[in-house]
Formats: sequence, C-alpha cells, structure tokens
Amino acid sequence: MNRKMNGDCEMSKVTDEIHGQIIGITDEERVKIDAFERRMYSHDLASLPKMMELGFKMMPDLVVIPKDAEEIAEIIKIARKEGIPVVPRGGASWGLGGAMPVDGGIVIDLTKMNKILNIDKNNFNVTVESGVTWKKLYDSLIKMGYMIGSYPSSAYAATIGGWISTGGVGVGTYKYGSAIDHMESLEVVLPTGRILEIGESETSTTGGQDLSRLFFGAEGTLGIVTKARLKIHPAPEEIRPLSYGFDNLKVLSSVVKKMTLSDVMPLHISFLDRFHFEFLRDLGIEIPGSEINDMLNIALEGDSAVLDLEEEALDKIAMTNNGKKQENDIALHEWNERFFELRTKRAGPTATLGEVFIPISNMAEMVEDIYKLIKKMKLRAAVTGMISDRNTAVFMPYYLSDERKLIRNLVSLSFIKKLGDLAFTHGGRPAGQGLFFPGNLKKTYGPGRDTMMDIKSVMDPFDLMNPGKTTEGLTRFGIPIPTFAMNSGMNMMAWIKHILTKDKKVST
Amino acid sequence: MKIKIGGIENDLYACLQCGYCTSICPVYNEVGWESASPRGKIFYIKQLTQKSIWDRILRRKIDINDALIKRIYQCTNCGACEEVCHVNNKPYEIWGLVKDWFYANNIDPPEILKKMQSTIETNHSPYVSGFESGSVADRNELLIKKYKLPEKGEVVFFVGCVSSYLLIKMMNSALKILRKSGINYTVLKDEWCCGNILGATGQGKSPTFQKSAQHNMAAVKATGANTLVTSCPGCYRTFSEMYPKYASKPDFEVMHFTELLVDLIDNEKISFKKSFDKKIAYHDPCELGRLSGIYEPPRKILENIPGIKLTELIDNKKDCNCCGNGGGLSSLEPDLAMNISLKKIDEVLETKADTLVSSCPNCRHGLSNAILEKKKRMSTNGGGDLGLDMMDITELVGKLV
Repeated sequence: MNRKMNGDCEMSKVTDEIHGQIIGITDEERVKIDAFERRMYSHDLASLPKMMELGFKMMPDLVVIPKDAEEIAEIIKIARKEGIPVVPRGGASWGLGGAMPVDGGIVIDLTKMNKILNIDKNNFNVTVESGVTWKKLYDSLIKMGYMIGSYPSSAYAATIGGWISTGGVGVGTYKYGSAIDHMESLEVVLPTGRILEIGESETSTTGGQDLSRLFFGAEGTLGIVTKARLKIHPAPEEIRPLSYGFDNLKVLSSVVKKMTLSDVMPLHISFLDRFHFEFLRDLGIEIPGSEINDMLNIALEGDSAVLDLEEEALDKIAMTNNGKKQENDIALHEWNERFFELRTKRAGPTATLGEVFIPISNMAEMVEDIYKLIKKMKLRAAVTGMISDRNTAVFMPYYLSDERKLIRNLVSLSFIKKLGDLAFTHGGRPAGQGLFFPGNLKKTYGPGRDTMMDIKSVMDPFDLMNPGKTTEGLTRFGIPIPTFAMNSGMNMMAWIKHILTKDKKVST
Repeated sequence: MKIKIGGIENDLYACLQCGYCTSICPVYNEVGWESASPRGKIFYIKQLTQKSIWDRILRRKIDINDALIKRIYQCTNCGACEEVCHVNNKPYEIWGLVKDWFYANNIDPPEILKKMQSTIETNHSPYVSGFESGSVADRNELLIKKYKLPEKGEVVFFVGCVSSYLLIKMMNSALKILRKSGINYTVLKDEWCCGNILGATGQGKSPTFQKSAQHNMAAVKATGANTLVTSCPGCYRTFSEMYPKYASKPDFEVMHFTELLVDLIDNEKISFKKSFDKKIAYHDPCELGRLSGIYEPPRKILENIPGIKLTELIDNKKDCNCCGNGGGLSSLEPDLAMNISLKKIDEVLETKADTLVSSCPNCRHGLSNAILEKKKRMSTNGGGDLGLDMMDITELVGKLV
C-alpha cells in the first residue's frame, strides 16, 4: 500500500487516496489530517505519560466530523476495505481510553451530530442524534415540562451515544435506571457499514431479539450508535435535595441500607466523605456550613405533598443513627455540585478516580477495606459514590497525586487495580473496561466473556471497530496485554508505593 | 525545548479535560474542531510545557505553529468557560498570559490585530477613517462646538471608539442624559482609544498601549474629575483592570454608565418623561456581566422605565451567551463573529421580545448588524421583517428623559 509520512513522522494508515475518498463522502471542512489537530484527539480525560506511545499509537491518522449515519457507513466501508481501525468519539469525558486510538486509524467525532430530532409528547419519547449532550437534552425537555430520568454526572460533556456505550450509572439511576432503561430503539452503523434500526417498536416488544441491548456497554467495539429513541417522563412538581451529615462512612452505609429497604424511592442517592470536603477547604473553595461531615445527599422528586411524607420517613431513619440534617442551602449546594465531583483535582493537581460496584449488603465492609488500602498505600484520597439501585452501591474513590512526580504517580495507579480486587472480594466488580481493564471481563463474567468475544468476532471479524478495547487490551502491534503481566505489574507497583514515603497530607 | 509560560502551570495541570467548556464555548460550537475548544487549547499548551527527550524518541512534533497561534487568538474573551469549569480555571486568562508571552517572545498576533496597533499608534483610534464622525480630531471638535463642555468637571465621560465613530447616537444619548441630570461633567479634550483590543490580544506591553494609558489617565487628571464613566464595558475594563495590570492604577473611580444611571434614578436626578410600551429582552455583555459582575444595574434601570415589559433570555446573567464580537473576533474573523451573533438573534426571537437591549456599544454594533443580515437572508430583496429592534440602554434612556 502506498503509505506516506504524515506530519509527525508516523507512518499513516491513511493514504492520499483514502483521504480524498473521505473528503468526497463528507467535505474538506470536516476532515483533518494535520498533526496539530490529530494530537487533540489522542487522549480522553486521563492524563497518560507520553511513554505510553511506545506501546500505543494514540494519535489517529485522520479525524472526521460526519453529519449523519450514511456518511459514517461510507467511511466505515472504506476503512474495512483498507484495514484501518475506526474509533468513535463522543464527549471524550471518560478516563479509560474508550475514545482513544491504540493503533491510529480514523477517529469519528460524533459531537456535531447533536440535534434533538423529535419530542413525542403523546408517546413520551424523544429521538436524538447520538452526539447530543445529556445536559442539552435534559434542559430542552425540562423547558417543555418533561424529563429524562437519569443522566451521567458528566452531563455537560457526555453524549447520548457515549453514555450508552460505556454503560454507566449516573444521577437518577436509583429511580429510573441507566441509559439502557431509557432506550427504546437505536440506530447503529455496523462494522460492515450496514445501518440498522434496532430495538422496540413504537409500542412494546413483540418478540424477537432486541439487538439494541448489545450496544449498551459495548464501548463502541460492535458498531457506532448514531441515533436513539429514549423514554421520557413528565417533569415533577418539585425536586427536593436533602443532605445528612454522619460521623463516618460506616454509619452512613448502615443508614443507606435502611433507606433502600424502606419504600421511599428517591431520584438519587450519593455520598462524599469528609476528606473530600477537607480538600475543598484546603483549596479555599467555599462550602456552606461550618462543620465537616461525611455527607449523604438525597434528591427526592415528585409531588410536593408526597415529598413531605418521604422526607419525614428519611429524616427518621437518619436521625435514629445520629444523622445531622443539613440546612436547605447546603443540600441545594450539594445538588448543584452533582456535576462537579472532581472539583478537588486542583489540590493534586492530578486526580485518579476508580469506580466499583458492590452489593449494598457489603457496603460497610467495603468502606472499611477501601480506607485500609488508602492507608496502606499512603495515599491522599477521598471516598465518594452513589447508590445506583436498591441493591448496588457504587464507590468512586479518588486519590490526588502529581503527574510531574513520575514514579510516585505511576505506582499509585495500582490503587485502581487493587480497588477492583477488593470489589471482587466483596461480591462486586469494577466498572468499565476500556483500554486498561479488559482483564476484568473474564473475572466478572467467566465464560460469558468468551461469548462476548465470539459476538465481537462475528460482527467485526477484522477487528477494526475500536480495536483493543472492552474484550481485549491491545497494543499498537496487535499484541494483547497479558492479564497476568498486568496483575503482577500492578501488585509490584502497589508494593513500591507502600514503601515510598507518605503523600503529603495523607487523609487517614 | 521546554516552554515555560509564567503563571499558568497550575491551571494547566489542574485541568481535568472534562470538556464542560467545549459544550459552552461559542467559538468551538461554530468551528467544531477540538483545537478550537478551551479543553483542546489547554491540552496542547500543556504538551508544550512538557517537552522532553521523549518527544524526540517518539517523534512527537509538539511546537508553536500557525494553527495553534490562530486558535489562541480565536476567542471572544466571553468567559463562559469559567462558569462551567470543573476546577475553577479561567481559560481566557490563560490565553491572556499566553498572548503576553507570545508578545514578549516576538511571536506576532494575526496580521490584522498587529496592524491595529499601528493604526491606534497613528490615529489614536482603531479605525482607519471614513466613519460617522471621521477622525479623532473631528470628534473632538464636534464635542467642543456642539456641547460646549467646560475644561473641568467632577465626572468625566469617556466616550469610547465605537460610540465616537460608529454609533454616534450612543454618544449623543449619553451626553443628553448627563446634561439633563444636572451633574458637573465633562469629556476629555483629546480622548484616545483606550487600547482594550491591544490588552486583549497580548499587546498590553506595547508602547502604543502604554502611551494610550498614560495619555488618557493624564487627560482625566487635567479635568480634575474624581470619577470616570463610560458606556463601553470594554473601556470600563481597560481602566479598571488592564491599566492596573499593564500600566498603572488610575487614581480616580471607574464607573459603567449603567451604575451612574442607577445613581441618577435613585437620587431623582433624571426621570422618565415618556413610557416605552414594548417587550424587551436584555442581553448581558460579557465584559460587563461575567467579567465585571455588573448584572443588576441595567435591570434596575429597565424596571424603572414606565410601560416596559422586561423578559429574560433563557440563558441570562452569568449564563448569557456571547454575541460573538468580543476579543477582537469581529475584526479577526467577521464571518465567525457574525455566525455567533446570528445564533444569539435566534435565541432572542424565541422570547418574542420586540426590542433587544444591551449595554455595550460592541454588542449593539454586532447584534444590529446580525439583525440586518438575518433580514437580508429572510427575503431575496432584503426586506424581511423580524419584528426585532436593537438598542443600547443609553439610547433607550436618552429617548425617554
């Protein structure tokens, strides 16, 4: 193949001819191959050391901004013919490398497919292009008296397609479930270039397989979500935020357990430990209230009269466990801060966030073990999280470090792996695979992972659709990252971190 | 090799790359490429400051190139990114420091902005010639002949270039209000361009800016005034923030015209003789609102006008969307600025208001042009009717006192 040197001396998979073909499908304005622009698309939220580029070609060879599924289908057909990887990209607000190439190729930037196509008031659904952000969708619906039940806490940047593909939980998941529970149908472009409309018909399921479910959490490895029809709900009379302070997360956990057993159904339940607030205070960021507690934040939603009763019930549970009900302004402040979970990052200035799912029954034990791990690794960390349904606690602890201190920062990374191990011990699992944790898939699903790989190889036999993610960690040379090497490497790193001196202001 | 730009390192490392700023940036939303977003720019500048031997080994080409320079100046300085920033960064201030660094290291701003420096140097205004009131000298003469203002005064009215040369109506309205108020006021004998555009584009340390600062502050001193008032939020910020930053701190109070108007209303120095029976939408100018925190005075004035029905845009106050004409963008990329303005007009039309009011000559100029442009696009003969007029708050008040 006639390959050319491309800007930064990398061999490009995209020849002049292919470049020309892609411009032919779209137009000149929406295709870039210059190194400056491509560099912008070589990463997501995670700040990775540049040495990573020894193993991964994170720079795409070409970036294209398509305007519809048809254009994407044509681009994919070319990529398939030429053997070029294709990486779909939404808001790029995830930290596990899902939207980052590992072997160059074509990045498809979906953020300009951002139209809300139809709000069907009679049938309570909305049809959107996949590049719409959840914030924009939420705002547009609220204006008209409707509501999307749940959305990711990164809603300002996260796109519809991005959250569907990463399969996450978010604000409102407790009451309304995740993106999958809102999905009525999807339009997807398959790795063959075929465009499918899949999912339920307008009314309800009529048998046959609902293929749309395959794309939830597939991290763009099976195809590209281009449109979605989502369920909507009437906007409530009131959203009422409540906050309760506790002495520690263990007590808070026992209260949460009682609340999940009650028949109150809040919109959202989340928690932040006192270390998080201490970091904020260290930064000089104003937080209402004088006292620092471990905080349980709850949002109720519905008719005000009903909320009065629900609030009373929750108050009772909290008070019997020494919970301190916070003033309204604190609760409101906490609710408004739901999109800004990492405001403390500046104190690092590097913050690394882990995410694990644990059965509610084991929440208190998990709290204890996370703090033990933090102490053992001498990290400056805080524990935050949410309750995603009656039986699932999601822990999102993060630690602060400084990426300029290379070794210290690198070995700290093993915290995320160790956190995953703890999750497995307590009957839970880490969230998301992306580039770094495909190894967890086997541990989580056992032979189910083999079936996922079978599905992947049937749908994408040449492994061109977001290769190296979800089911297999893959380097630029097509060599998988062996799970045992990853594990022993991570264990070694944790040990090194353990023998290093304490991080400044250790939080335990 | 490694590039060190003072004062921004912590911000670069604090950036989470969450992309909230991309969703809100008016320029990014038009341009579409990540490199035009605050997130993208911060990512790349950070790479510049991190250059090491690894870049050689990995053949990573990270440099200050034309594409980057273009993006750094391609900003309306609206400050919307700050409002949604996860980690309380002020991206437009980061670009400010980068532009200052560019200037100090002989990296030129785009040609048109560089040329503006020489125009201001020779003409004492950013305009070459041929506008409503001609040159600076013509404007000065007009002020002396028509208004016969004294040499001394307690309050000095700083007209500003847009009101002097492009929107003379605004100047006349402000002077009418001042006359009616009976306060002791005057204007500068020879007002020079304040230099806002230079300060906003890294040229605050240029001799031209320095001279403007010294000249204007000395001229204010010569009038004996203890307060300077201006209807231009750009001039307002130049006096209140840029002069202290790049030159020296003025030893007089700096006020925006809306603040003075509230004083005048409160002290019953002006009263509204007529009513204005229209539905008004108010646009918060970025430099007055987000960047100076002046949200209430204009609203208070409007509420005092008999007959007015004031409505708010859906995104208002700190969330107000930029008109597209700040930071020199309307000179640098008029089409881009126009597209942002047109979006703004669509937003205003949604409120069904019949008059759009702002308190900034730059917004007034850009948005009335956008209304004309929209009308032109609506019908082939250019006679479409939007049912929307644009006014500055000084024009509106000037009409009614």
